[in-house]
Amino acid sequence: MFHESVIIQQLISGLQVGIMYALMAVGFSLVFGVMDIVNFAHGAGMMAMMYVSFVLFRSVSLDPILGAPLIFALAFAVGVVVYRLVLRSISHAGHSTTLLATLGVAIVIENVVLAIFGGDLQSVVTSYTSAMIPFRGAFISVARSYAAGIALLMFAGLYYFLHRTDFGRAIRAVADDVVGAQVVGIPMHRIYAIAFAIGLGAAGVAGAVIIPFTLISPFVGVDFLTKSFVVVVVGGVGNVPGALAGGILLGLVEAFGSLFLPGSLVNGLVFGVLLMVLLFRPAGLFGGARG
Amino acid sequence: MTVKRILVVAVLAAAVAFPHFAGYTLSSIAITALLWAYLASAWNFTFGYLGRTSLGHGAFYGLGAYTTVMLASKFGVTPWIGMWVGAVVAGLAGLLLGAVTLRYKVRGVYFALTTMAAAELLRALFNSWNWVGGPMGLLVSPLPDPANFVFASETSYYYVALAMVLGVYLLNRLLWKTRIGLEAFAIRENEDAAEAAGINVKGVSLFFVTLSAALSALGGTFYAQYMLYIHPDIMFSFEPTLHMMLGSIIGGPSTQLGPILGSLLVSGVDAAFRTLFTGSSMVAIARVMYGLVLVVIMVRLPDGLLGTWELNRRRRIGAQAAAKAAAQATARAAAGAAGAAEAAEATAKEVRPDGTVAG
Amino acid sequence: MALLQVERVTKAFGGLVAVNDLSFEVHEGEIVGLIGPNGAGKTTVFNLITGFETPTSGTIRWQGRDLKGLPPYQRCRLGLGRTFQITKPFARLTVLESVMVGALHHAHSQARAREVAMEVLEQMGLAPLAHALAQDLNIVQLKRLEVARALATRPKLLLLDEVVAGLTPAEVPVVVDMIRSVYRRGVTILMIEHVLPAVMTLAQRVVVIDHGVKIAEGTPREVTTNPAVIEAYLGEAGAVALG
Repeated sequence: MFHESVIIQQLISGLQVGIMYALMAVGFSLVFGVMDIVNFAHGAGMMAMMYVSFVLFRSVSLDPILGAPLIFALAFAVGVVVYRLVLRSISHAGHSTTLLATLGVAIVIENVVLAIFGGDLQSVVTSYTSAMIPFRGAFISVARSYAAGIALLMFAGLYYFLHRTDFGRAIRAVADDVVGAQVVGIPMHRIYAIAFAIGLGAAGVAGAVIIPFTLISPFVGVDFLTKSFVVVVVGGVGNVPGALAGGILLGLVEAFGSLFLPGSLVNGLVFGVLLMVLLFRPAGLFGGARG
Repeated sequence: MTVKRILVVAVLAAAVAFPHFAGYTLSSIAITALLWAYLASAWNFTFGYLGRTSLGHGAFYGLGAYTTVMLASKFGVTPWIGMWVGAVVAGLAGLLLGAVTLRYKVRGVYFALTTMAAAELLRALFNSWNWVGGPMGLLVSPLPDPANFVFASETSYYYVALAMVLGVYLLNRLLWKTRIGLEAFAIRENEDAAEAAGINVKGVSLFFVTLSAALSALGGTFYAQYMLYIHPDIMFSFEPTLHMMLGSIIGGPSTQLGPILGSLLVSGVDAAFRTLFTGSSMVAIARVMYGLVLVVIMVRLPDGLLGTWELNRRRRIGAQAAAKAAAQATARAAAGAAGAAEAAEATAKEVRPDGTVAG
Repeated sequence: MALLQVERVTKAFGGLVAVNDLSFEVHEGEIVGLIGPNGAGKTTVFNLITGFETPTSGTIRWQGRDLKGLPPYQRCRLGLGRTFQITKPFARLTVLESVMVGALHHAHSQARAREVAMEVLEQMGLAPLAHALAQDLNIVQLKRLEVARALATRPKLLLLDEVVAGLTPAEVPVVVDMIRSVYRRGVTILMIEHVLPAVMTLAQRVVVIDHGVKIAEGTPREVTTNPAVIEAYLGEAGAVALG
């Protein structure tokens, strides 16, 4: 029905976007899995880091991809601060309390950015923004490939961190059994702060590396959050490889869905997938870190 | 007549007389304030009763508005009927979302996120669907026609809004006394314990979500008939949902009056803010403040203003009653000890030498 | 016919088998203890009986009827009451309201439920605290409330999950007495307990499980002198447990 090149095009761009979604969502998934907190400021935080990256590019011509480590460090620091200030005292409270508190943070971030930069869409044009590599009739976007590459690196790094370092093991212990972990002397709040900060850091990097090919606006936070949610539902809460799989799945569904459906109905398709998963496999297609 | 009764009558009288003394501007502000007070109460049927946060109530609000306006403009159905159709449509949407996310195996927070996604979806859909106006929105004919829910004067709208607020307040009072109301509170406090105590958690939850959705839809209809223009970005975005939430959260979701009073407070502050400061960036700054208020309330006063006050009042009553009962028990114990001795003596006297017991 | 029949029930969580081919019965009018070292799967058994978990295989019968597919709230309405190991109070409701909740399913109205609740509060010695908020109670009061709430549901069988655990030695006899008085009002009891002395004084029959498998069943005396049981407990500081 479709020419081979079209299929390949959608496959590739779906994969690229999907990997980005995965990186965006993994931080959200981690926080949810480790502390059982849904960080509503996740999308807004990512958006804010997009703007930081944007400012750095415009002022000192720092390439967003090269600047990713800096963004990670900044997002990490902000994450620690937000945790200490807001979440620490309510980390034990009910879901709605943490949800609404982080929502408040999201509103603050979004509107501060809005007040400073205004609501107009911005964009960043780098040397590779429009570079394309032809492949079998399709075109591979170089910018997206860079972004996907960084995302995969971060994923590998995150996986290594969680499974091979002491901190990572401590985080997984806390995710598994908070009380037990504390009994063996793991400092709960420090671990929580680090997990939260890493989550925000990952989102920040995701935000930074997509600006060469994405429109920047203060209002994209909600979309990021919703997509992160879908990835987490599909991939399983706290499940890092699951987030990668879920993200890629989402990217491919969107890419191929757009061949048949207009833009807004593709959203409908994604929502439909969400409802299906919730109905039949609410723990995610690949299961979660916590039962 | 108690002081409280006099106060209630006075407030009601003032509320009823209000539009005759207030000018156009003040009436408009009041109408909007009343609408959001109503909507805050409607939203609260999920939050205050069940403990469930819906972040997509704009979906129900918008569905109500769009159903009514479409039925009126395309099929000539009067909004007085159309609004109930809208309520049914929204109720079904709420039922669907609830049925999928309010199950034992589904994490609590998924309800919030799914409702949010649903509202966003509707926003995107309606923005690109030209039959319902698409990105142009929909206009309601401004010709005054009470039979079609369009009034000439602010006063009429005011009374409708006032009636809605009073109605939802009375509904709250009623539900607090019913079995299903108490079941909802139990679910809010601890779902597992509620289920183990014989409460059909899923059924009760679906009831309140559907009710909440339907009531929000009615509010959406009022908005459409009052502002005479609707648009997906106005109805389905996070804006109206946040507006509904703030009043309830600040006022006190676990009380009957909390959402209404909290909402009126927010509306008042908002109106004052707008008159004092103007400019587009002021909107953003106002929202920053709302965000901060939300954070502070969650960290410090999670039960809201009235809610915290109510809770403390109940605690005091409970502590007093417990102390009083403890004192009584001690007194009884002391009297009992003396009485037991007496009783023992009395019994001893009644035993006759031949072994029979008299008395 | 037995009130409750657990027939060859197995529950596996992925690769971990929490309950393995477990069978036992509870007859009306008994107090049965379910004991075993920590992590033995006892609470999972309760969750399976009350419907919070579904067995991987096996059958659970209530008065002869297979409970498969019945959600927890319906099992409660059939007469299966339970408490939770970590109490789950209705924090912002009063003691009276909390107990009223339990009565709602058979009282049908708040007014009628209030009457039932007041009776239960009297029986349980909680009447003075009727208007106190659940979140302000101490641990003993909370446990008492947990049982009161379950009692208000008019259970035929009451599943008590470690009611005595976490109490000081002085508090234990108080709670043991409470359980005894509940029993005397005609409620059959199945109790999980990790603290052995309480179970030994109350239970007429004891089922011992370890790693999800039944390793012994009998009177308290029979069970405490059973070598397999001793070994299961000694495997983890059993001397303390048996003391």
